[in-house]
Amino acid sequence: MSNLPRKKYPKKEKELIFESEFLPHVDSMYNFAYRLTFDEDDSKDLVQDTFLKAYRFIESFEQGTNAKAWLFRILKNSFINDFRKKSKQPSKVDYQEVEAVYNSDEVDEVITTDLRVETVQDMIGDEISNALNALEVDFRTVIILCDLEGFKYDEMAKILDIPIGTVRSRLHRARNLLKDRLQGYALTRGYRK
Amino acid sequence: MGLNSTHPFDDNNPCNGKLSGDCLELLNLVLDQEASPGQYKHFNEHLKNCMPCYEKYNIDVAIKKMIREKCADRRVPNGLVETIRAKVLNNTSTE
Repeated sequence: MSNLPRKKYPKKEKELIFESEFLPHVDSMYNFAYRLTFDEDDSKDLVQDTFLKAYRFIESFEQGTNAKAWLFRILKNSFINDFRKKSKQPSKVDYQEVEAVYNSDEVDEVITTDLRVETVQDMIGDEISNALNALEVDFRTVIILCDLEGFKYDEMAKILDIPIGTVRSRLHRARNLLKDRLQGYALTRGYRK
Repeated sequence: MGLNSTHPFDDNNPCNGKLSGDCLELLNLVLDQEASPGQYKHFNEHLKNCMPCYEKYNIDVAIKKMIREKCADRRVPNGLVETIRAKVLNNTSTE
C-alpha cells in the first residue's frame, strides 16, 4: 500500500467503495484476525482498526484492484506494528529463531510420514485447526493466505512484503511442519497407518 | 533423456521416494495452481510413473482441502459490521 494519494474520491464514492469493495471481506478478515490473535475482543479491535485505516487511506486504493489483498495487507501490518505490542498474547516470534528454522536442513527434508489421504480425510476439523494454530505465526500466516484464502504467490508477496521466492520456501516449510503435527495427531489417535 | 539422467522428470528415472527439490517445487506450483500449462503437463506425466510423488501430491491436496473446509469457521460477532460502519462513516476524522 502506498500512502501517496493517487486519486481523490468524492465522499459518496468513498462510501460506495467502502460498502461494496471493503465490507464484503469482513468474514475472511475476522477469521484471519482470530487466527493471528486467538482472542475475540482482540480480533474485533484488529478488524475494526483495519477498516478505519482502509477508509482513511482510501485515496491510495485503486478502484477495481484487489481490495481483499489490500485489506489483508493493512490487517497484517496493524497486527505487527500496533497490535502485537499490546496483545494479551505475548509475541512468540523470535526472528532469529524463525530464520534458524528456515535455514535448518531438518525442515527441508521431506517428511516421509505415514499419513495417508484417508487419514487426513478422517480427521475432524478441530485437529486440522489445532495443527494450524500451533504453527509459529509466520508459517501459520502463509498457510492461511494460500490455502484458506486462495491468494496467489504474487499477492502474498505484496501482503507480507517479502519476495515471491520467500513466499514459496516459507509455504513449503510451513506445510512440512503442519504435516508433522498432523502425523502426531494421527499417531495419538491411533489412526490406521 | 537417457537412462542415466538424474533429471527428476525423466520417466525412466522416477524419484524412488527421494522427492528431489525440483519435484517438490513443481508439486507445490501445481498444488497452488501457479504452474504453467507446460509444467502441469510435465507433472501429470511424471505422476503416472512416480508413486512417491503421486502419494505426496494426493496427501497435500487432501490437507489443502481440509484447511479450506475446516478452518474458516470464525463467524463475525453480532454487531461488529454495524459498529465498523458507524465509526467509519460518522467519524471519518479519526486519526
